Amino acid sequence: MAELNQILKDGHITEEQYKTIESFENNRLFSIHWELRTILYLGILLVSSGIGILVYLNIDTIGHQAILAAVGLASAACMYYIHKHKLPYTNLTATYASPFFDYVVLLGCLLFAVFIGYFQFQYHPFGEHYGILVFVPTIISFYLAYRFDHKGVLSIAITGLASTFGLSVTPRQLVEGNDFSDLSVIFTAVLLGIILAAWAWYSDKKRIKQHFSFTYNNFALNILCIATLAALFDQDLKLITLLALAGICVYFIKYALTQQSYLFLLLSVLYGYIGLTYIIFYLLSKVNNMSEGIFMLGMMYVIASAVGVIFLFLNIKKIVKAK
Amino acid sequence: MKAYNDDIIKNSFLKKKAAFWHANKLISDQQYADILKQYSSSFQSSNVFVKIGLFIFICFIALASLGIYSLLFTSIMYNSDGAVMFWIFTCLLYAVASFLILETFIKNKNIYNSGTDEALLYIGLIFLAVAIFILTDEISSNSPLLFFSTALPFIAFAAIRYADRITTLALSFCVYAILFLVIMKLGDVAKLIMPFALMLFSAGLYFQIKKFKSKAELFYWMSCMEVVEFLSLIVFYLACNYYVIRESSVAFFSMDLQIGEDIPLAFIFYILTALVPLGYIYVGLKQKDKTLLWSGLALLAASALTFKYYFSLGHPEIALTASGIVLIVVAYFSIKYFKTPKYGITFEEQVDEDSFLKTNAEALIIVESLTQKTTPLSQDGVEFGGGQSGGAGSGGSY
Repeated sequence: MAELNQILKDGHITEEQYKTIESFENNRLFSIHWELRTILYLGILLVSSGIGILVYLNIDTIGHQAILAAVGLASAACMYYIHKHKLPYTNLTATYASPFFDYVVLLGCLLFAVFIGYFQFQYHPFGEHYGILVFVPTIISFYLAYRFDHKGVLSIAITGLASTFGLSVTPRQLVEGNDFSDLSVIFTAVLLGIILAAWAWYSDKKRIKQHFSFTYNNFALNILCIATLAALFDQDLKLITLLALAGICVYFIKYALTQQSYLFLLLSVLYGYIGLTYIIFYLLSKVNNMSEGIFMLGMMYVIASAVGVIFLFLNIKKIVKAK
Repeated sequence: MKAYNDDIIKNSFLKKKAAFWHANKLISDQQYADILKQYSSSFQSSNVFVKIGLFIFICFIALASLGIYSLLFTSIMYNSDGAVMFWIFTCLLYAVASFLILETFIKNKNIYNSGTDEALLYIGLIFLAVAIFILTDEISSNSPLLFFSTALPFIAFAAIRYADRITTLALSFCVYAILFLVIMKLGDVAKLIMPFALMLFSAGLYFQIKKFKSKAELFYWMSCMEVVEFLSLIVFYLACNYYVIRESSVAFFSMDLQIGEDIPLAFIFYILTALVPLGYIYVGLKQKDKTLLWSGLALLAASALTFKYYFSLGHPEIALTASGIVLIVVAYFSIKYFKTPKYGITFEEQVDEDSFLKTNAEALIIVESLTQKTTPLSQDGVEFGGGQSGGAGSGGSY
């Protein structure tokens, strides 16, 4: 234990602490927590997609009622389990002793969505109102996420909320799944992003599930920045869009500094940088359509600005501390 | 020989340990802050996102300066006579410049593992590799062995000097490539001895590295040794995996396998494919070795896919459901079993500083893997299971 001896020698810990840490290290158990969780999660993933395909293929032989009943029952069983083992609601983090609780919440939420979707597909209880298909599970997901403190279900709820707005916001779908050349899509995305960020801000202030604000802001930042960047590239009114992007980035950089969250700092700086760089090159191309001198100027801008950003990152600790 | 000061490396280990003890409430907040203060230098940041940012922007600078450079010398580049020499010169110039800047930064700014040094190192190495590639290609075209053996000493030097993980990975790849190409030169006997030679080499490498890891004076290369340890386990498995052997027999040894025919010694490779990952997991648990355990788990999945590929029953949905149920049952009983520690193994989570990142990463994986492509609502005929109902529909996961 070279490290332990070192900090003792430099006077950071007492003799007593030294002994405690030494016995802690000697008696440390080998934890396979995340390994088993990963296996369990993979199992749920495989079973849920396997059953999905089974149902899809055997719809003619099994019969709709049987499938509906099975899915509904399974979902109800999950709900019963979580209802039985629930803790009282708290605005803070709720810690469940059972390692399975989180997964049952997740499974129940997913099965319920399947149930609703299948029910509508078969019996059309909501007529042509397909929105309800997404809306009802979204409401349930939000309820489950808050009541049982589940960040995964919260993420599902937010994607559900986004799709009631007609947007795809899962990480891979955010860019390719939306048609950002349409101005109304951009406005919807901006609206959704502002709602999410505002709710995160409000609940942070009121101390309602503060640990959820990462999830909300993560969605909000990416949705807002990608929408405004798309607007910047494709639409006119470059100046207003640039100002909007700048505002968004400033807001999230401030948020990152108060939270000491380097992820948000990196993302805001990157998005802001992309926007600024685009505008600089756009202006340069307006001056003279890509002559050698202009190209040279552009490259010099990239070097100078990158040096600036690097300087910012290298001194980040001082900046964060100064706040 | 070493680019970084020993103390920097020692301190970074110390800070990691201190963070762990702090997370377990063995040292107080104030003590932890004092430790961080004493053992950090001002230009170091331990945050991974800051590192990514620095890395990206260093690359931007390199690209932009390359842009300016090529604009200045456009005329030479398109002049066919001196073009090759010019390219080699350019690459060497960039490589030398990167390494010079890197050395100055390390010396003056005390950077270590900060994103900046990695970026400069990789840029330097890539330009060097391109220069060597052009050069060896000029001497004798299409000779990978010449390229790898010329590059080897340079990469080895960089890996030893900078103790960098990705450079070590490149070095290992280079060594394996040379081994493979040399055996290929042996002719007909190659296809018989190839799997065994690779397995033998990997096993030797693994045990040698294990021995090195226990030597305290080699702490400078600890992270490199972990990379080689992991890689040797993977290559050992790949060298005896049935799918890999069968496909490479066709690709490299032009073996013409008809339907119903099999590779020689197929039986042995089937057994090895199944047993090696299980062996890794067993020994990993027994010796409490995360590297073995994780490679065993990952390779078990690879083995399952291999067997499914050759013995498919034609019902992927049943295979999916059954294997999922098996995984859930295994996980369920293991969790129950290890809830109270046995054999020094426990299900209890080890508290560390990263738990916030882990729970958020888990949420991200859930939303990515369990929600499906959203169908815009205004369209007619929403597909079954459209919207966010996960796992319904014929998901593309098989």
